[in-house]
Amino acid sequence: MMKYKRVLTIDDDNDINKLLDDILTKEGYIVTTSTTFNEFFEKFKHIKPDLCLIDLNLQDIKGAGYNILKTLRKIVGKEIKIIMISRRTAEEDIQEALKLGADDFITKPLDRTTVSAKVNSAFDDMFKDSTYLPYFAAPAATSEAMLDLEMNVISLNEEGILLFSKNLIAKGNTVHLAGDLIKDLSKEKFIRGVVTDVERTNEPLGYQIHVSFNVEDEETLKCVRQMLVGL
Amino acid sequence: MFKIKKNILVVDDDSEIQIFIHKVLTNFGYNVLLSKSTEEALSLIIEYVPHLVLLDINLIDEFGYTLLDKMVGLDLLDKINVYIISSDSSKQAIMLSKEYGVQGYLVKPFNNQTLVSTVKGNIGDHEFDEIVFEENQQKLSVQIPAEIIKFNELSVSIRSKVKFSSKQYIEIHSDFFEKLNIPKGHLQVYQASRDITPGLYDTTVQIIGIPEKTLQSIRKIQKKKV
Repeated sequence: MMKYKRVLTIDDDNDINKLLDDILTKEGYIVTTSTTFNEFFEKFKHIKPDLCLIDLNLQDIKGAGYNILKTLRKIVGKEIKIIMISRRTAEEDIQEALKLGADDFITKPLDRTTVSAKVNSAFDDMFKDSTYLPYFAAPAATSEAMLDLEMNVISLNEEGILLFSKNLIAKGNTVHLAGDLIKDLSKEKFIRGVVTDVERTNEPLGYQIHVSFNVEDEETLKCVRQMLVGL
Repeated sequence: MFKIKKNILVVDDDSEIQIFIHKVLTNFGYNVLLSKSTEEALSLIIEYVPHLVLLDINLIDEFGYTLLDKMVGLDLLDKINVYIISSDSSKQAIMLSKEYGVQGYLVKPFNNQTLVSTVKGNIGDHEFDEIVFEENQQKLSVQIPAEIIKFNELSVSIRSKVKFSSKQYIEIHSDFFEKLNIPKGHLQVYQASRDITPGLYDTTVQIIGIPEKTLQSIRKIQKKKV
């Protein structure tokens, strides 16, 4: 039997609450609304929602919503999805919310499709029929990209570097390495390496990735040897 | 698999020996460094950290042992292999070299076969100790090329050689995001990547927390449906 997801909203503007209720009920969620802190936490205890939509600036107190966000994360950890709503669109405000553990951030004025699509996505249902957004081809001029993944260094030897990665990187791949360790090994902003070995690990769950240095990069190889002998 | 070129430093003030060793070892693919004095030799050791040092202890102006003393001072003698080359075959000379802890002693004159097998054997046995880091002590940024295949207001689909295993925030540098004013910290892998061909994966990346204005910019550039 399918369990209906419960959504609890808090916004001191009841029109917003009514709009969210309308949008999300049509998506099959059970919606409860609130307008004050006390009402919110009362209903929270009673309903045990799966997702909360929280207005950032309640009762005209700037950033009041952050407090609810912080409190919720303290009580329930990452179990409940939390999406912030706000008239504020500044990058710092959004980043602060994400840093405090919000799953997403929607700006006002609210767009129906955005709200339902984001709530569906929060429940890992991004491709649900009702809110399916068609894809468009990325413009050729800007489709090139560089993934920038941070990884822990396990060890360094003359041939290369052993890294821990949460994700698999296919062997034979050329990668660029950058960071503090690389600054000690090269004058360049990054050095090239090739993934020459990949091994699954269970604790922690992930992969040990060996990246070999470019054998023609004599300058870097010298610096590596210097580091290995303590110079 | 390409091999790292090994460096050999020859410390000998006899030009003929220098030329001979240089020719023979270069033919075998080694990079040969030459010096005539221990001072010059030390700066070459510090710069190149060679895989082997061939040292003549009877240099005209000084004792070759001076170099060994300097290497001990820098804590290098147990990390860099030194082989003595000398015309002095006396027991004392050999004993003294042993006391320093060098790898061996080659008496001049020697032929190219002896030279090559000595060098090969020695380099084959030598390894610089690796550095092991404490957990979380040292982090690196690993940059891997990818292609943005398609997009909508909610997400982009990228193709790369990384197979993401779970939801996680990632950083992607691309003109695509720059032109839309989507800064760092707004991209999250939505679910585990899909295999396209062995080694190539498609990943849906969700665009998190961008203002309505930016969503409109995305809608504006939506031209060709996929």
